[in-house]
Amino acid sequence: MTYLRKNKLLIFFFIVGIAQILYYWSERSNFKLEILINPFNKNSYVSYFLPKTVIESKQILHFNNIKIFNLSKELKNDMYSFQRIIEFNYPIRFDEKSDFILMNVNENSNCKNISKGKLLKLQKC
Amino acid sequence: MLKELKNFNNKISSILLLIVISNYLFMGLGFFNLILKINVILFFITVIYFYAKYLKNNLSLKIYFLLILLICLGTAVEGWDQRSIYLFHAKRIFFDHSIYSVSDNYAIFSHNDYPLLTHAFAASFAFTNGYWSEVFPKSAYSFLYLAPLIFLSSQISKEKYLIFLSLVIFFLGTHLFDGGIDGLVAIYFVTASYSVFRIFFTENNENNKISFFLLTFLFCLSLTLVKNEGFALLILIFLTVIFIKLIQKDLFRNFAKLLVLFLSLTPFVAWKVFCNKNGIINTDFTLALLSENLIGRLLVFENYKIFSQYLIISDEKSILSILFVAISFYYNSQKKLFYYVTLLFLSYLVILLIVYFSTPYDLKVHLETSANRVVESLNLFLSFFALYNLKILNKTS
Repeated sequence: MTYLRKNKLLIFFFIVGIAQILYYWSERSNFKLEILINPFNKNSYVSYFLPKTVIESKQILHFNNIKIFNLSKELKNDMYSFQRIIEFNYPIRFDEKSDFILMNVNENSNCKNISKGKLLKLQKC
Repeated sequence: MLKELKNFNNKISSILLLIVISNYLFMGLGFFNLILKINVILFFITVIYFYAKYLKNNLSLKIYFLLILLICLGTAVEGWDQRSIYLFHAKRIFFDHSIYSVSDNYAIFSHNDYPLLTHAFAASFAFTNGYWSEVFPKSAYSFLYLAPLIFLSSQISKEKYLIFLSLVIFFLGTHLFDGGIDGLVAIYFVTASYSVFRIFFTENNENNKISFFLLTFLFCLSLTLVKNEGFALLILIFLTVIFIKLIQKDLFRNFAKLLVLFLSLTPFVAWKVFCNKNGIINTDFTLALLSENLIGRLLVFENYKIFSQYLIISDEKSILSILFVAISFYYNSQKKLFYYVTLLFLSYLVILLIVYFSTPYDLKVHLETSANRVVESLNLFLSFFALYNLKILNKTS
């Protein structure tokens, strides 16, 4: 009790800090126990927040053993998809000169179909 | 005992910083092998030693950090900048086995001109792991908070330190665990400005010790290599010291120390020379943009209103920190400290004004998307020195 009385101020500020961390944990983070149990997981739990289009782009590129790819105009103009596809697929690289073009399934083109997923397709032009 | 703890904390901070910097150096020299893994393992051993050696020492920091680390390891990498810039740089270093591969200027959106100290450290976590995953390397950014926080713990009283930790959590918030580096800029800025102040403006034997000077040097060096802003902030710290010393007609007494500290800018300058040689430039701020946008914007009063609105008026944290510093110095005015803090604050505002007024983007949009991150450094800086200045709460140093 004496210790507590002497250190009231310390305990008060300590609790303020803890309360703030708990607030960030519950309100401002996408915390998942599953991630904490194995933070070394290779898939990095991207399915929790990356759009299916981006995840599918990796599956298609891997399946077809593509090392360099291009994106359709529509995907390039969508800044979020453009940046996510590029960073998520690295070390597979984006290059505008590549003949292999990823595009949305509903996009029209005269190129040859290589692979088709639910949301994206890969074509060779 | 207190002296022993202080030495212990300073040693731990030095070791942690030296490991991080040597890690970057090894990568720069092309050593992507066992040495990186040993380095990371040594880092973890040092952290464990810090936790175990004096269990009750710094207990609040230990508990807070453990909780933050748990949140960090339990969250995926989501933020735009974290994915497109920070972790992407770490990923590139991991896969390319080089910190120089940015010379191809691939994915320009990732700001290839950014210094890579923190990202190299994150990449070394992946090396230790043996494969790329996002969550574990992200925790490297949280670990980088330890060195400055441990150092500061032995510089102020226990009460002040606990309040400071609360302020760190309040101002930096999610940056502590989300893989962002703006919080790191803030904490390294505070630490570097504090230790530089101690060296040049306080009479204390401890500040003349070589170990304190070495730590200051390491903090200055790290600050420049966290982000481009860090370089600007360190230049401002030095200019402020020179300005005050010139007024005091006391510049030459400490000139040698200042010159040595200036050397901490070298790795950043070398990095910029490398970027420049490879045609990698900062797309947000160039000398050409200065003449294109700055003059025109300076002449429009509305721009100043927008600038102050986003950076100060509409940010409640900024108002709180300015109020805190005003109250603190009203009740206890340490002149040197007041000049130092005010000059640094105002000069940083001027730099921000120049950078924002030169932006190639719409001023409002640019402020909207970045102002809250940029002011973190200023808020934490003001709050720390307001706290440091207070006479009360000086019981247990």
